[in-house]
Amino acid sequence: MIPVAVPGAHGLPGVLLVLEGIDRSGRSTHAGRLEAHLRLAGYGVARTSLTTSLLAAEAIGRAKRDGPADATEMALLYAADLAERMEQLVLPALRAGLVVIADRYCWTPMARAVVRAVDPEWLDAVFAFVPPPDAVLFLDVDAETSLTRRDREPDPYEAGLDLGLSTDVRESYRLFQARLAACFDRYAVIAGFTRVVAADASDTVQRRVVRAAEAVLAARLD
Amino acid sequence: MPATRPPLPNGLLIAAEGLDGSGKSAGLDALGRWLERKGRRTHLVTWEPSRLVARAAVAPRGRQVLTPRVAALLAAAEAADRIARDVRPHLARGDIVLADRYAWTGVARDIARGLDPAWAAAVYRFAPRPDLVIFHRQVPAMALARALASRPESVAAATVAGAYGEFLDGLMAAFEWLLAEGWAGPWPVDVLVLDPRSGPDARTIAVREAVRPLLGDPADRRSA
Repeated sequence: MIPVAVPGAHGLPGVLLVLEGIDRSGRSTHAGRLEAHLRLAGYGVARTSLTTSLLAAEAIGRAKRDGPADATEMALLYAADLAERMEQLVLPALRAGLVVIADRYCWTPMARAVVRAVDPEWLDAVFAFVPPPDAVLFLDVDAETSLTRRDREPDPYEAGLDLGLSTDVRESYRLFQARLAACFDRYAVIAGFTRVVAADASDTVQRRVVRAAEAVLAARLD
Repeated sequence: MPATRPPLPNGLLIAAEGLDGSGKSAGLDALGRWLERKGRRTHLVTWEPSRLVARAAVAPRGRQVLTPRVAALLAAAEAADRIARDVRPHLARGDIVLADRYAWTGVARDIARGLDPAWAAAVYRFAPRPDLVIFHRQVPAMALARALASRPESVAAATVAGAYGEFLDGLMAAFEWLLAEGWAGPWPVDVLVLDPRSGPDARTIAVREAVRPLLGDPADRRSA
């Protein structure tokens, strides 16, 4: 089964906060700003992002460049990337009592695979090794907003061009991101996401992110 | 030469599994020749060790982060790529794909490295289910002796041989688990078990008897 966000369910002293959302929902921006905010507030913080592992990241980059890659292969490479970062960074930091901010977790690779017709039950089984986070802050924007936030052409993988939804890269991006958004909406219910309305100005969204994070920290650490 | 028969609607996948030196390759070779004589188109796929894992294992930093789970997922990703390129297209053409090791090997290696058997098996559920698994049972000591004879410089050092022998014991136990708990593997599958003490002729006959009903030949169906 996929992990469900429940404060303290991983059983370790630290706190694991995950940011999820479609492309251009502001995940990386808000992960960085949340890290800075929590450090100023005196917390020990570690941050990790998708495809920053030593072993799998290179293979993911190569598969995307050589694309279109097999969706099952990509899901397994993302799982390897996540496994390495769990073992090398997330679990040691949680054991040490740090706040860990994860810029995307298992749900982004799972959603990307599901929209490419990979069996959802198989994905649940493969990603079952990840510890349940204390909270998933779901940055909720629609595909249209995501598209208007792009200043240059989306890359073929982010646009889901391999799915043949449209030959126009921007239209393909909009359709593909809408499918991802529908997938995240389902995960939000199943896995207990905390929804953060994220279509507004960055400062407004950041205040919401900080408020949601502080509520979890208060529940866990007080 | 017999005339080429029409391809099978969904192809056939026959996998040989077992330890080193258990006769898998020779057995598949003989089966392939027999099928070709019957006018069937065959395609041989070998289950190569993962290049990503091998490269990581020799790099100082790679070795530090190469845990059993990371190795399992990297190897499975490469297997998925191989299956997408080299197995599925041939099955779609109606070929008989002969796999020299297949998903059981991947699962058994991961279990022997200490991962949860149920998880290790679930990872390989993406692989097309074989129509038949030919399992070559082998005594681990024999497999070790074969490995020592064929790769003396790398395996012969006593310490390495000891560790390798332990790994082979783990592999064999994992194969036996897959065999006994058919429902717990990646998929339920029909298995022909070949005994290490049986002679080559007896093995050939047993394999042909198991494969014949899968070929869909009217004459064979009558005799089956």
